[in-house]
Amino acid sequence: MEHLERLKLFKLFVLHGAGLYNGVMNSRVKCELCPTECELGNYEIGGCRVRINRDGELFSLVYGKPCSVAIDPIEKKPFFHVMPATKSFSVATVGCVLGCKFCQNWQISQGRPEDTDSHDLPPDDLVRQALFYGCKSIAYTYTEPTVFYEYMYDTSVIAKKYGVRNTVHTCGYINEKPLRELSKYLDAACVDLKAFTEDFYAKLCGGRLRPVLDSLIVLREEGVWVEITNLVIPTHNDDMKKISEMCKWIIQNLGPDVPIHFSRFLPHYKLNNLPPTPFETLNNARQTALDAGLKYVYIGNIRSNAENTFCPNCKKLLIERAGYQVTQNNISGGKCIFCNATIAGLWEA
Amino acid sequence: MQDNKKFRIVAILSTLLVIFILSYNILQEYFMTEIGGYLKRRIYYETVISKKGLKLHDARHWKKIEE
Repeated sequence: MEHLERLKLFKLFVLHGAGLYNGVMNSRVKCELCPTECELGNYEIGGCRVRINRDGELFSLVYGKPCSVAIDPIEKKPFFHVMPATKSFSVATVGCVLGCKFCQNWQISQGRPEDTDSHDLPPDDLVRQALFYGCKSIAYTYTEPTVFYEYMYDTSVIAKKYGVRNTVHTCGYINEKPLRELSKYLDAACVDLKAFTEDFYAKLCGGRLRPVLDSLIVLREEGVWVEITNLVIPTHNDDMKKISEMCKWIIQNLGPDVPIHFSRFLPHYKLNNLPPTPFETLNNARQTALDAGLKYVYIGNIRSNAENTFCPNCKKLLIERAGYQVTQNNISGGKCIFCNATIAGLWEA
Repeated sequence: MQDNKKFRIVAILSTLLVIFILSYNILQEYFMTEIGGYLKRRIYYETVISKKGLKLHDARHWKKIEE
């Protein structure tokens, strides 16, 4: 190996000669996909681990190379107001734009494409498989879909042509222009709003809160159905005052119809010294959100009555869920069958 | 060879050596580290990434659409 490296060094010096210095200095590329905006030297890989600058051109290393492919109930994303009880063809490649210390899929999100097994699944094959297995939607999920933007974009264009809906589970850490471009083909987005403080994003995720809030507004403006997930982590983001502020911001900027899922934290990755979130904390968060004026508030990652949908008008049970299974659905044509109130969401498959 | 000539050769060589050392110290700060980093990355790409069979796909697609 050492010999091979020496040989390579020699070859590079001899072949590239005087042009080497110029090549190195003049081929820096700025990736403008996510707010991190990595400036990459020649052959340097971005913080997401999947985008490389080769001789002044930016390339994706994961196009058509998913590491995870599965058929999930759409409730698992979680989407509670999008075509209930349908299957979603779920796909992910390695990589992430953030580095959350509590990541539940860190094995793939923090992995590198050269170290991970992946499948060959070009966009047209992906859509074909989704149709073959009777999936009403494709979900770009598990890791951060922003890192496989080109793959997701091309797949979305084909999927839309064939009437398959495009959904994404994202941290929302993406720049405005690429997001608007993608939104033309997106039907629904579940955004992880991890906390409502810049401090949390800086210390635990290696990112910033502001771009995530901006993305939520862009998605809303572009007419994409939005649901929000908030993982409640003991001692880090379980302050009810902050949760209340977050809910008020959602109502003010996105409206009271946006469903919010308070998910239970389970010890993972670099935060495995913390206990799981007590149910009481989740219930308090739910009550805080309801008090703030949000209409659809759920608790996730733990079985309870708070995973059901209730009519905000007549308060009757609309959708009963047991984990990811829908056991009862009292919504017809997007309306409550008891009082005819309109229930926000994408209900028709 | 005369002592005078020998001294001149030694003096020239010493001067060249001093110039070389000085320029190395100055220049390495600017581009030797850059080139070192580049070679390390390039070798990693050639020996690990390209051997894995990962295809490179244009990652500026969205920007081209926008333009």
